[in-house]
Amino acid sequence: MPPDLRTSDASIIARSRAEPECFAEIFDRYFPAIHRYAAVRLGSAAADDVAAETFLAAFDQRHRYDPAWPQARPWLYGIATNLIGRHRRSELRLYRALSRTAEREADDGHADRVAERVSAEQLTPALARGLAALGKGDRDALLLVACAELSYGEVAAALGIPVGTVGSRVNRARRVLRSALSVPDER
Amino acid sequence: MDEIQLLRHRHDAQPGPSPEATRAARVRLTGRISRSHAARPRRPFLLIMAAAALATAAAAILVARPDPGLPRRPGAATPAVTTTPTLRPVSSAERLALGAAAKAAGAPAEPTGPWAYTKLMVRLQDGRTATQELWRRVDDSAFAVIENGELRTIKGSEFEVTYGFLLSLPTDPAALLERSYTAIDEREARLKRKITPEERDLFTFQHLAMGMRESVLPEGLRAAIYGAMAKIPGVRYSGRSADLAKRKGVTLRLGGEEIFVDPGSYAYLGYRSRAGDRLLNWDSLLLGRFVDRAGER
Repeated sequence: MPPDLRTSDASIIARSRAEPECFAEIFDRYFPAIHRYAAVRLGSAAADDVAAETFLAAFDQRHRYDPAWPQARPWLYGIATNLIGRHRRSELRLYRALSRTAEREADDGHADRVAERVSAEQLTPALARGLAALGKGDRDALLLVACAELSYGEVAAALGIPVGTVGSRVNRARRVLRSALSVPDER
Repeated sequence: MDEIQLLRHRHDAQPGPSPEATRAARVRLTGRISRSHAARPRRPFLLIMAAAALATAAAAILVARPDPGLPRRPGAATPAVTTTPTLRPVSSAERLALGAAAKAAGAPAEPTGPWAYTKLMVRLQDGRTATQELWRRVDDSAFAVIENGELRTIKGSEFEVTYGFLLSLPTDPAALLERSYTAIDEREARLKRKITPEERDLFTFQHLAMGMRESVLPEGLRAAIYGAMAKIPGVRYSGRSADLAKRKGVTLRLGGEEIFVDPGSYAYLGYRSRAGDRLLNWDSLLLGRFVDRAGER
């Protein structure tokens, strides 16, 4: 559901300091998106916990919310990314498992079906290996841009890093993935 | 399709959370929100403010409107804390505890049901009041709240003072106080904080007050907590007060921490917490009883 522009996230969060129950509106607006982002990185089972914990942490930190940001998306994605960071091994395990699953199905002669799925729920083995090979900071920045569709400025706010650093991280990550996919650089 | 599009495509193809996962997450958040309505000052700066208020209030008590028997400090400055109508020596708090203990004789010593039901009136920060209903397992395995007209049960305990701690307390006030001091000492050691003796007294009083505010306790244990509070240095008794629900009562107070008690039935009425002139929390226990299941009143 798109955010109600008449009531910004910032004003709801500000109100929730006095009336905590208002914060449920933030949950209703963003829980599916945060869950989807966590599921991409950790799988749906772990995403249930991480997404729920994201909103608990956000509620506890609402007094520190910067009202200069009318939308809470970068803030929430930043919290989720921090929580996902605690599951780094699980994330890498997921990429390896996805890679192996896709390869096994291809070996079993279901190439057509795999071809359909690799562009959707599954990753190609090469892309999965490429994601696993990325540094954590680079992967965070790339996935916030690619999946959460945050701008570089929003990623910078989410991760607490300079905008220039976001750019260099994303570029580095893309080079690694393009190499894994054997796609020549654009330059 | 480049790598960004591949990743985005995969992201967009995720099915999204199941209704069960969404409901469970919302219940967890609602439980946290429910707890926060009357959250005690947990952050260090608030604790420091509370400790500072203790010193201020202790001075103010001596000059506010003391009983004839209390010393008056000549030339004392205008008190920074609002005066209370009547202030009596701590022996009144001890009498309160003794009366409560006498009344508790013969009452059940253990919870009479697996769930404790409480209905609280809480003061919101904008001055309005709201009521909250809570069911809490006395074995700390779950609690339940009403959300959008439906009963939601959450596994585990998010309460700072657990029933496990409360029900393990001895009913001798001195022993209960000693056990409570030990709990605070252990907590502060875990947090690697050094506290003054005055802060130790304040935090112990606060711990016991917090333990009473969202729980139902056997009468004997409740009386012992009153008795333990009365033994904490600096605790004051006020004979005329009114709680958030405007019920007349007496109070036991240390610094900005205060509990309200019905002097006739010795029932616990409520809790108020202040830091200087800031009201941090005020609530009244409207109903409290042990029940057999969540949702039962």
